[in-house]
Amino acid sequence: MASAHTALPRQSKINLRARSPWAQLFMRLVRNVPAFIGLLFVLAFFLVAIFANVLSPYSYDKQDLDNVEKPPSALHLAGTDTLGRDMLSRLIYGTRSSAFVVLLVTAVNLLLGVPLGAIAGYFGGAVDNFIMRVADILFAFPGLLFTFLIAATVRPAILDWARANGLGDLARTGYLDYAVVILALGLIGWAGLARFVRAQVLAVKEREYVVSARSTGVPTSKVILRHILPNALAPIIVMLSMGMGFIALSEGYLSFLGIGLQPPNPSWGNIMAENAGRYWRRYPEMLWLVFIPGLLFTIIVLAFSFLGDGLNEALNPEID
Amino acid sequence: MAEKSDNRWLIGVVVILVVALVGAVCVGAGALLFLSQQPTTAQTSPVPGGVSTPGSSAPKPGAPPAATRAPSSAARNVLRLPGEEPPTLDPALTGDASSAEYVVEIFSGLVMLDKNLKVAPDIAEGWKVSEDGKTYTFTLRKDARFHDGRPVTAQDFKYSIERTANPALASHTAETYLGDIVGVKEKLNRKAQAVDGVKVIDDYTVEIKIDAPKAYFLAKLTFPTAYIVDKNNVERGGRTWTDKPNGTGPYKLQEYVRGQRIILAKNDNFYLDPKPTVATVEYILAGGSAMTMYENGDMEVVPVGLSDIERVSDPASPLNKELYTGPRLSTGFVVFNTRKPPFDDPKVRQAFALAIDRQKLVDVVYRKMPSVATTILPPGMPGYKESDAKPAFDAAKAKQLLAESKYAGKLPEVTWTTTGGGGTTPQGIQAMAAMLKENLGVNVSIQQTDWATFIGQLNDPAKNPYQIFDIGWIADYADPENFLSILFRSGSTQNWAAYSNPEVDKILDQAGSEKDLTKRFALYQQVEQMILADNPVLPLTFEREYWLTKPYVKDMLYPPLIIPRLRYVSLAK
Repeated sequence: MASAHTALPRQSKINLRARSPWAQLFMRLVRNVPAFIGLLFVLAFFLVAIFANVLSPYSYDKQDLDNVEKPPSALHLAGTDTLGRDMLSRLIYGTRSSAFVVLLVTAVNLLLGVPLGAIAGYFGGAVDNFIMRVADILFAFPGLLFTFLIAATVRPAILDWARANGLGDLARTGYLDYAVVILALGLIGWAGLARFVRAQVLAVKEREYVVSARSTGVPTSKVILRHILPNALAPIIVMLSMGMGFIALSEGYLSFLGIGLQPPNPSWGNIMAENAGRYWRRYPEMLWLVFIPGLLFTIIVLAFSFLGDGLNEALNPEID
Repeated sequence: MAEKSDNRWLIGVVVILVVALVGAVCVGAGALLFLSQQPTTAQTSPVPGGVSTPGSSAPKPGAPPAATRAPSSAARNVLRLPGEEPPTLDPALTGDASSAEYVVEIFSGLVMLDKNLKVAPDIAEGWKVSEDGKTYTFTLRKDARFHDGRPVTAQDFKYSIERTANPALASHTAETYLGDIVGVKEKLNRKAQAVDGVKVIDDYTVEIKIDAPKAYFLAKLTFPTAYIVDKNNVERGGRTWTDKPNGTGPYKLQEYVRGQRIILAKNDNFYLDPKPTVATVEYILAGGSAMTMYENGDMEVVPVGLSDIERVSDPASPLNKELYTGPRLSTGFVVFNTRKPPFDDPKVRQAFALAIDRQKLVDVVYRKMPSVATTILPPGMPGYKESDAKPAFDAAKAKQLLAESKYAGKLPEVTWTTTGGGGTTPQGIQAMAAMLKENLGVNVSIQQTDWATFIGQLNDPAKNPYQIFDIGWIADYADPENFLSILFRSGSTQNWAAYSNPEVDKILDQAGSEKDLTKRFALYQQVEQMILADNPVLPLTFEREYWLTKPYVKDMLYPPLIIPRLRYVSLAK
């Protein structure tokens, strides 16, 4: 990885004239080959998720018990699983589950982590102490255990509530119970971001322009939003982008353990879990059943990492 | 902002991923390699750990040697097998197979089922039945003792029955298995303090009166509900008395760590022959791959699952020689809760039943391990009538029935409840849900719950919240009454479908007291057809036993129903 970077043209040579900062950023990003590849995969990931219903050749739960465990062929590009369902369609819909979770958890992290971190950093004192101690507690709390707890206690109640209030269709699609579990993951995931934003705020809040804004009577909310956060935006973007790969992976292990999306709704994790039993026993005969979702995990985690890495360099050109 | 640490971070991710992938791919083979290096030192007694120099304190007797390797299982006389977490170990509350498995070894009753599934003497050495078939007089063995050495007397039996019938205990099996005894129903309904039908004649003689002559009464006494418990043990132990049960059975509960293991130790004072020979029987409750443990020599006995059946059935496989297959008096059902919409409409039940292609399910998903069920009674059950009818499957008719039902076009939400915690939904249930979607256009959501919660909800058919669910029933004794009356008579606590048909009830009662076997079985066959026509359940599979046994395990039994079996087993050195 390191050698790939040194082989690239140095960012300082890029012509930066007459372009908006965002365009400059984009140019710097796409000239970084791993980051560009990462970006392409990430875009493909979200596009496949959005157009899953258009792209998949079959329905994800259409079973054909006369054609089970067929290897990849022209008819089924990724083969069929133990119930004769088209693996490609399931993987495509699994992408949708994965993207759904990635966006949701990131949004929760962002909405909680940034304001809480900014408030803690800006006000300091008792407020800071309180927020950061809560963050410390969350840091110490094993995320998986917390998710199990939510799955066992809150989820059934929410599902019952949804069914009783005419949201049965939503409950049935599985996305609702998924959302509950993943929100749990998001609820504890904000701590890292809050700690980070707090550090950024602490670093800029004593700068002259902030002090002068405050001294001229600019309201606190405006000081934070207009003067402090924009300066912390770049690292936040980097951090979120890098975190997305891990969120995709978390979704994978939750579904693998059976507490994420419930079958027959597919997720890469539960596709792996469902087929694992057969796969081990007849290894290496049915590679496609587990290997393909595993490969997708690898690709998407790497893609998010490369993208995050590239963003980091693009946003901080002085680092060279 | 961290500078060059980004690369380190990336490398870290790559390393983690590579390790995870390689690890995942190798788990099967890796575990095999690692575990196969287990020691096989043959030592018959534990050696004290460490060197005891003169003057130093002697090693504690019984303490296992710390650093010595474990001798082989046969040498240690240990039988290890996978077990399931029992919802209870209290005989009075036992109503499911996973509890009964342990309870029949730790406790015992007046009578038991022997290897041939016939009612045989246990604590009672003999009995007499009166002319009218309503009074049973049992003579108890004088050498039967509790695990703590106290002799078992007729009072203990009376105490146990009255405890089970005590409404405060809320035993859901009491009425099912003891309801024939005069006075049990009265006590359960708080109309009597004592159970009048059980009379202590002297210390070793007890008389039981039942309300009508019943062909199956003795067989019912072989079920744990009628087992003997120790009053002191129950009263001093409080709510958790079953953690240290003082039973009478061939094995004692030595250790029970929830979610981990149940260890039974042999009862040297057991009163029947053959006496138990295997010193300890260890049930592993913690999931894991039992099959891998078996192959590595960490288990003596293991059931064969769907993933392994093809491999094990292959005559070229060395495991094939260790394979046992045999019948099991058990039927797997899809149950429609007749109290819950939409299954209160028989047409919906019939539509759902017709939309499931059982033959294909068994052939493809279950890999022909069980056979397709078309009747409630399994083959081998007295009264079973073989039917050459093909399992009914008719998608067109199913659709039509659904359209004729009162829920046509406005079918409520349907949730299928199945057992299992974590892990993924059983493939069979997914396959059936997909069949319902394809053949009926019904979206069925699947909900998983653990066995104890599941069985707890089923025990109260009037309040059971599940609409549609899958469950099996294994015979308690070889009599058709055990399936047809217990599962389908109105008001029975095991009537999962909350099914009620006065005509069926009438014939069931008639069959129960019919003495002529041919007539009796004809009645049961008639009633079985009546029940099937109403579709409270869809018989799905007739289960079979598939087990692997290590060659050094002798006389391990895999009976078609649950009987005390461990005392027959021995391990060759």
